[in-house]
Amino acid sequence: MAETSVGRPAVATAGPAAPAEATAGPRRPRFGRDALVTVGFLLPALLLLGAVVVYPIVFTVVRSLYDANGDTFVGLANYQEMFTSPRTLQALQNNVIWVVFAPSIVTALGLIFAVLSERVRWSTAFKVTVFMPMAISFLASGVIFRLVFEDTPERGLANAAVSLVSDVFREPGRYPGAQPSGDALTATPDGGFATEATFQPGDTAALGLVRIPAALVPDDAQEAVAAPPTAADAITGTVWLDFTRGGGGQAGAVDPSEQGLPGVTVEAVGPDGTVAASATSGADGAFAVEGMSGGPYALRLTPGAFREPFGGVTWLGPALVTPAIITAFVWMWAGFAMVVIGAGLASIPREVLEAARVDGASEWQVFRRITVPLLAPVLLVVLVTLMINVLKIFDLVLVLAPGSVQDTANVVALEMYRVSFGGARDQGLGSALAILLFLLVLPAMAFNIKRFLAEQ
Amino acid sequence: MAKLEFDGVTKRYPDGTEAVRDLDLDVRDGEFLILVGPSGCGKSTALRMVAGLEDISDGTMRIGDRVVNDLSPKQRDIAMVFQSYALYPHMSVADNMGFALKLAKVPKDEIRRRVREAADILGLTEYLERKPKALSGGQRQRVAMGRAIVREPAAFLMDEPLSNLDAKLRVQMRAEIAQLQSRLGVTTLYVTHDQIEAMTMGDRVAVLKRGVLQQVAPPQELYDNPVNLFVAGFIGSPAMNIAQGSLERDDGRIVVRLGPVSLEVPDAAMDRYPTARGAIGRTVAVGMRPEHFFRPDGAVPEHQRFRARVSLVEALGSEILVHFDVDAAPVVSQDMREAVDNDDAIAALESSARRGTQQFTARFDPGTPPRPGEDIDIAFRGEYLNFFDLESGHALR
Repeated sequence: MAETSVGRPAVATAGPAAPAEATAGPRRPRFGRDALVTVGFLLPALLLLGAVVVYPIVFTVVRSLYDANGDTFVGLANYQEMFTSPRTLQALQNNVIWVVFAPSIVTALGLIFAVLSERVRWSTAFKVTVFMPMAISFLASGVIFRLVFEDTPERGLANAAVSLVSDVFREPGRYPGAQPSGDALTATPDGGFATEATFQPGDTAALGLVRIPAALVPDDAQEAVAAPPTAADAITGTVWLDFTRGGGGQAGAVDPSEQGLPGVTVEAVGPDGTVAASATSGADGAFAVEGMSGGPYALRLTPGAFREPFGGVTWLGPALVTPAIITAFVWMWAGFAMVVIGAGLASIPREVLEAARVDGASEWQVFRRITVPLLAPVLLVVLVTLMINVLKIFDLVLVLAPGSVQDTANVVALEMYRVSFGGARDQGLGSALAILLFLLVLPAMAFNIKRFLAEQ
Repeated sequence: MAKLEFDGVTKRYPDGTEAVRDLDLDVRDGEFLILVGPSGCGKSTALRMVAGLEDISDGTMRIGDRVVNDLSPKQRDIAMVFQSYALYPHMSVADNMGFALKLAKVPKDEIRRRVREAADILGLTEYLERKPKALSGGQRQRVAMGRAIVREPAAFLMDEPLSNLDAKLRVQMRAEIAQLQSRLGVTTLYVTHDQIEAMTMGDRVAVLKRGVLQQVAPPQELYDNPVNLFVAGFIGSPAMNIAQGSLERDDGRIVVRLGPVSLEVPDAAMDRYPTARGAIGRTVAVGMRPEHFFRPDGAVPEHQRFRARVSLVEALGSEILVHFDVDAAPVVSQDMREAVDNDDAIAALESSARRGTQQFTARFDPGTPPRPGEDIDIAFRGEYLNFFDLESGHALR
């Protein structure tokens, strides 16, 4: 027995076979065969890993040391170019923004959703809804959010929501885009109009406006009155659309069939700049600023009637494009964070939370001092996993950022793609970028792997 | 410190089941009251209602003079010890014990002083900086106690605090908790299903069955004079032997007939169960504690002894438990089912009921133990006989 194992000392020390030595009997296969079997079982996996993981990494490292075509060895020139090109620096800066904001926002939201979903009645429906975006590909979500972030409130959900709120606080006018006809009125900086000329009580003013689409003229508007009744203590006049349908008519004069513009506020401004009185135009456009004396007064049309409606935020413009894409990312990943954190929550013993309540903790204190610290390991794993994801972010940016702002929204992975497969087809520089990305992800990966090993 | 007062307290779940029904119970100021009952009897629910962890469906709960029905746990000034200890795993022992004080914004020095004091009492001083993970079961249990003590609360609530300890440690902690309570004098409500804890620790014991309070009394009183079959069957280990027997008058004496066995009922027993006189000629439930059997010598007259076949002998060193067959019908009522609290034991009881026979257990002094299968003479100290109504289960008092 002892002689046979001494006979093959080199193999006897092989790791996995070593424990067998203690119980080795004469009938046991010898260690040499064990090692062969071990290698035999490992071989397919090793080959596969070698072909699809190790070889590409090594090849990329080598490729990054060659020029665009791969013919000439250029040393570290690609790396030098990478770290001097403003596009890469912008991409790196964006990656930093992504890593700082996206994972923390997703984790925070996931935590809130997880805690809430424990307490709401239809929690399963809620969870499914939040988790659903995970099932949609990045590309498709990119398209969805392209629509969400459309510029006009009529087409883009985000702008529709913003305009709904904004219209409450800042009501749009009835006649946006109106312009004075003739010289009687000039535009004021606040968006209203004023007369150059002044009027005395008893005078009549003709205040014509143009560039108002027929659709905006209210249905109750009547034909404008050419000569509204005058009064000794009033300045009277007409506010009307100085445009004769079908052509003809005279600018600055109330022609037949021209329509009055109801609902415009007319103010009489005294020489000292104070508003003496005001009136609102009627259905036929006639107004009468009454109770006047002295003078002279200039007339002013207040801007309220001419205010432009909310035009929409340019989400995907240079200023907001990265936050907008991060929003799309948050929408996709909040469900993932919620589910993982929810599992962590479920593993916290209920009695510990009850003990804290009996100890005098409010619900917030229980959350802050017990739940969150006990969830810390889970939160960390979610955060790091998301960081890895975020560093590699590519498709959302590619789909969401319009071509004109792609430089502004650039990230390393996108830059790698654009350099390698875009117009330049510089796969040397592309490989260098890929290596940079790999090195960025590495610490996060190492952290996660270490954790998983520690848990086992 | 304060008294706890349950006034018609009911816990009803949305599906209509009542975990606790119309509970009236006072825990006096400084008293150690044990709440005991089989599993699912609502004892933990009652405790959790005091703590504010469970809503009260009906009735009034008072701590001191305050009605606490609608107060949050935070506002009730009570400390609770959980079965699982529920220590905060991320905090050191000192932080665990000081958590409540910290929340109450007690100054740091004061917290440190009180935590040290409690740690001294509990022998935890050298473990103060450790995390719960690094403690043994007994030490964790002490930390849970410490967390309650430092608060100097109006009352302690303990929910089976010893059931996660091994037997030896349990004996030790049982004594420690009882001592600690009498030293601190804090009103304590202690939930357990353990017979020995119920008998040894408290000033009084409250027995609960299916959410309904059965009897509240000092332990010995409860043991000696159970109000019904449930309490009789539940309190005591080994359990009281209960069988159907008929009370008869025989030659001027009152005897109770258990199958072929008939025993004289002395006046002392009749005095304890006065209404049993009215039951003469009827079948009643007869209860006999194992320790009241004895092995007669020649001086015991014939009508106070009987022969029985030994089926099992358990020698415990200080005593022996002898199981023997008696051809008397067992009592199979709802009370008994609840008291036995074990499906297998119930099934055994029912099958023996069909055969009209059952096993009794007797506790004898050690000596020469009988062998299984042997027929031996056994006598009973008749003054300790207990009688219950067969239908209602009430003691015939």
